[in-house]
Amino acid sequence: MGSGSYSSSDWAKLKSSRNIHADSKVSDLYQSRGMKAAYDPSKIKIRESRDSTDNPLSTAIIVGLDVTGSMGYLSEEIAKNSLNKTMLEIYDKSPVTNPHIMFQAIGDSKSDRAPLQATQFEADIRIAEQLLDVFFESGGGGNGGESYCLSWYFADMHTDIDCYNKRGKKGYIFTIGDERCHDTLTREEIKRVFGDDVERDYSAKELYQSAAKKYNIFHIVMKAGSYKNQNSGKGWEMLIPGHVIELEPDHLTHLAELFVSVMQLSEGGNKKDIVAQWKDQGAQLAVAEALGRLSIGDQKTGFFKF
Amino acid sequence: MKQRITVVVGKNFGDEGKGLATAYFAGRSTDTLVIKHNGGAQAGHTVDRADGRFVFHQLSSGSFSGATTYLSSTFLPDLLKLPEEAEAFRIAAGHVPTVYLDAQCRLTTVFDVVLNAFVESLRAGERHGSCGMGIHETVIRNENAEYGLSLAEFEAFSPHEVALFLEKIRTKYVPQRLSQLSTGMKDGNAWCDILLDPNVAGNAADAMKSASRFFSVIHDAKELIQPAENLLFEGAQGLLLDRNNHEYWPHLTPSDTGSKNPFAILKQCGISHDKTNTEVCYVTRSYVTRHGAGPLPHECDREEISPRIRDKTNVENQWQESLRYARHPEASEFVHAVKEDQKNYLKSDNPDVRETASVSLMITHLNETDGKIVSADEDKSVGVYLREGSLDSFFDHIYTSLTPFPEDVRRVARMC
Repeated sequence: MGSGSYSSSDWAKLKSSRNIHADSKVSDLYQSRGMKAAYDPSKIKIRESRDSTDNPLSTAIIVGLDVTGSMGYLSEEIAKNSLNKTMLEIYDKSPVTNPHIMFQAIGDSKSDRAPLQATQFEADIRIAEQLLDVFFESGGGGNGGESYCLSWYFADMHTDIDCYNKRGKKGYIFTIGDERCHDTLTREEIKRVFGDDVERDYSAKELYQSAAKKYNIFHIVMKAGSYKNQNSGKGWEMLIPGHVIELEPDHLTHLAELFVSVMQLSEGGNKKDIVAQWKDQGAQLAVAEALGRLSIGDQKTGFFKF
Repeated sequence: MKQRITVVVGKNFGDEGKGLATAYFAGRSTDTLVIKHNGGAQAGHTVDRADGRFVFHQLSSGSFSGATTYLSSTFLPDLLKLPEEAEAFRIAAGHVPTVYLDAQCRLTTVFDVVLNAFVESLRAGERHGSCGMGIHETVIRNENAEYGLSLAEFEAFSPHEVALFLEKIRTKYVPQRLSQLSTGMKDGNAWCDILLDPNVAGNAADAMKSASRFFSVIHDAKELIQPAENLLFEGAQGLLLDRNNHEYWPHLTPSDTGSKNPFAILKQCGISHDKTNTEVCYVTRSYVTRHGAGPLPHECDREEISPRIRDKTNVENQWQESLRYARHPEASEFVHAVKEDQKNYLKSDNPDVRETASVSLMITHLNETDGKIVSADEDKSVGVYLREGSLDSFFDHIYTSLTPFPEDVRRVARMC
């Protein structure tokens, strides 16, 4: 009978700040945790990634990170260090033409008050500031079970990307987290998070398939947190076969190389060359292992050409 | 297709194997409705399977067989903890069971849990054996019309209104209750920190509301209960902890642990019962266990019963301390509490209790005691023990369990 009791993480969730204090009025009680309106998807009609004189061949890239409790210190580590480095590497190496990056903080649409936050698409280092805003100003309370498909829905319904709309070239979505994806996104959740009225619930698979028309989609499963007890790797492989990368926390230092390599592969690069470009042996190993498990059967990128 | 009714009752102080028994009986049909009718999320019913074990709290122990769960009006749901269990079960089984909650259920709130924990923390050496899940405080608060919260009321509230209601409990009821308990807030006590934290009500309201996706509310239980082919009542705790068992007061649980609720529910639904369709199964281990505080006749060391006992469900916690062990009484006293419980299904026009339901006994954990019952004078084979107390004719059926797995339960018609 001992198990199933309230745990310290339950108490932490219950006490997490809603920006109210002992002297707050009762009417203040239900104020939400601070989410800046600028990143609130219910207030974002459309996010644009436009071709311009500076960036004539823009490529939209969305990076979504699970910021909920089970990831623990990892999400902070990823946001502060790994993503920063990844962003620099992408701008530097340009595995795709004129990268435009958007960051997303992903929570749980079943229980979170701010289950998704999305920055602008930015073509340069200005994104760094928004990255910190999104991941650390929100308080990021811990929640069980994650709604990674929010990222796909947002990309599908609330982005306008020139790379695809003008030139028929797909953008990229990378999500990172330890848990399985919820099976469905209900119409109530869609209403609450995005303010959209839709006819029915959508399965994660449907959302994936729809977003995959405009974006190359990958998920990085962190082998930490709930990875083991949820058997997350298997769950993801069933949901988006061939597009899953499992990553040991120790290999986080190579996240940047991994992102660049996966994009190069999707663009039709040769696996051997891609691995060989990295001088660091650890990076080579991490990249080789990840690419080995991917199977990207996309006609448009000309992959599987023999 | 005749309806089959089984009432599972723990014979002692809990931990008898009610999860195993429920899983076994649920496995007999593809159309099972399990009714949980007493206690709340503090119950921990274990079901062992080849690929792992699962501890059920609010979901029924028949869930692996696809049983539907119904929490009756006398159950005290903890909505905050339900999603965690449902998600854990989804991972273990690949699906979430269908769950109905009666609209008249009274809800546990986080403040009941904290009050309970706080009060137990002050009691130090004189604990009452609480699980720290707030059941006792839930019952007390719900007796107060102003602060009671039924599921029907909760349903009608917006999240904001739930938050306001919880905040009313926190700011008005809690101080009142503490003074009733002759105590007040204690500086530096972690439980008081929670009671003083203005964020908790809003967060708890959100979490409770988001649990709604895991169940449906039912207003007329008849619709659910009458058509079920295999109707199974899964009792929690044990007969000796029943709130009316004065012998063991005050170390009791505030609910009816026996067959009282099940037969009241059958009556409400207009379902008639007799020996041919209804069975009351009393479950016991081959020895006796008890949690935490309170008297325990024939108490002994665990090693005296068997060095092989390894209990994985009962991890020691702050509230319950460790599991204690005892021998069964002499056979003549074995069914003392059972006979009391049988008064719940005696029909006034038919004084012969044996015609209103068949009575059975399930003995679990026999593998740990070489198939023997550990009794006050010595270890005896099941047959010898039952004959000594003339119990072989008292019970219509005996079930024996020699492994942790429900599918290995065997029914023995009579122990001759």
